[in-house]
Amino acid sequence: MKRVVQAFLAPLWAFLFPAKVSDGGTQQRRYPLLLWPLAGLGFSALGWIAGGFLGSWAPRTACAVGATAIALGWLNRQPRAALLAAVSAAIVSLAAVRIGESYFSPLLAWPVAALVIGVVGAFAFRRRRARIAFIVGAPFLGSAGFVAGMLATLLIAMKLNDPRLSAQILLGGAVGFGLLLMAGAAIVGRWLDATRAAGEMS
Amino acid sequence: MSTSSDSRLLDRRGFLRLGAGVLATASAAFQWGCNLTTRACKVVPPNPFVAAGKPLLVVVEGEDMGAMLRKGIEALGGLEPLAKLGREAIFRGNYVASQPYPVTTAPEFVLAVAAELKRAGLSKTSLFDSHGTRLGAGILPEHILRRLGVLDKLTQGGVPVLARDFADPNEFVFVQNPAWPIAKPVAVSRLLHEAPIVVSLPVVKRHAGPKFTCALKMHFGSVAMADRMLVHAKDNECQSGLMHQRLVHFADAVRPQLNVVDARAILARNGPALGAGAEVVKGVNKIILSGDMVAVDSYCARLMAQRDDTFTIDMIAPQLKHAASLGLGKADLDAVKVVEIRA
Repeated sequence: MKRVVQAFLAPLWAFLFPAKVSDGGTQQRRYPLLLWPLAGLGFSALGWIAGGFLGSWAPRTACAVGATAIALGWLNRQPRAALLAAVSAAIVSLAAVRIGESYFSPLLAWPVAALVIGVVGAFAFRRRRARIAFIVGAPFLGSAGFVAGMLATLLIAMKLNDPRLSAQILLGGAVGFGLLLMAGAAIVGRWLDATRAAGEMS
Repeated sequence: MSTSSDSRLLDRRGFLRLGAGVLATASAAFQWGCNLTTRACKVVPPNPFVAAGKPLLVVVEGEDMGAMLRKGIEALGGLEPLAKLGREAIFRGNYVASQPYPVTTAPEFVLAVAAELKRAGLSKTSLFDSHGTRLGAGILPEHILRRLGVLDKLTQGGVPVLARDFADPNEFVFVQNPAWPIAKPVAVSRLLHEAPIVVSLPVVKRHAGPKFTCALKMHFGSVAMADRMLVHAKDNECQSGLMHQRLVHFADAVRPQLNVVDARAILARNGPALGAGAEVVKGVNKIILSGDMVAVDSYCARLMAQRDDTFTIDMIAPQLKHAASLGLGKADLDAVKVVEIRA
């Protein structure tokens, strides 16, 4: 029975926590899959909170999306790309917030910033299909994560009847954004990026 | 990275990265923690408008708003006690919908009270409102005030409008009174919490769920949208008592020093806006002034009951009783010195 369970869990464990990957004959330490969404969650939340130092929705959004981009670049070991993505996402999100204040909603900044992160972050992948998948998927993942994060915070706050938690609905959205976007990046990298997939198999 | 650098616990670059990360995390956590810290409710001096140990409640009947206000303030003993508390006052009006008086506080009324406060020695008065968010282009914090023309009229009249985002955590502070039976804080507007003088300018209305809106219930507009939403979602029909208790806690978090009710007309049968059976009752022609918001609600509920056969004072008895138990004022009008005059 123990063997059956181990046989069932081993591939899942290897997928989630690959300790080392052989890449072109060199040994390279790889981050566990779960680290990606956790880093996205943490960086985005910290960015959102830190943005509160600078003002209201615009700096909060810019800092949260910028921090998510930094997390992505950091885990991809591409500091320059991280900086580029962070600055681009922050600038574009600031512009989107300003435009959104006049037309529809500043929340438009989230899918727009996710698209920017998707475009810059796609260069971390080696195969075209992975790049396209990430560019196309990023705005959807970012938006879905933002909405899911807000809803989850709202539901928990209502369940606990806690105004401190319900005041942080948009922080929940930012957390969901970082979490799902980074989870998407990790899964695309693991499944669609051929070099890495091959590395994992070896 | 080389093997030698691998063997080191932390190289210079790693140390700098780690340091920057720790600093950013600590700063963000500190700021977040400060925002979530629960403070005590603001401490306000005792009601300055009293006579023989009883809170004063002045009711002025008449046709000329300016004359009624002046006469009422005179009967109250003047506004000089307020001028001793500070040089600036913040008004709280009722701007829940883009419909004119008596659904919302009339701008002419705000300007008239502002003029009286300036005459008493205050240098500046502003109107605070929080019924919108910058998260939606069509629901900006000033959208109702702009549509009603209140924004322009008050700005031109020298009363700046402070329209704040009801969803922005930066705009609120968490306060709690240990005497509240619900051990949860309230996110009250930072401006109102820090203002030395708050003057409440309610209108008298029926309200679908809580049944009645005047001096107590209007402070739903003084707290964060999250607080309003939680109460409406949990007890919109006042079945569990949460609504009655919480609206009192919201009022406790603000504690205006003076309430000036514009009851020249009232909104009866339904509310808080026109529609769904609500009707405007004109000819009430009263202005009520008091430093005791519970007494104000107790009196105005009687006004409503006289003109709306679907309303009884018992409907708001739990909130009046709760407010009185927290020391917000007197629900029993026998314990209040009611002065009724004509102007």
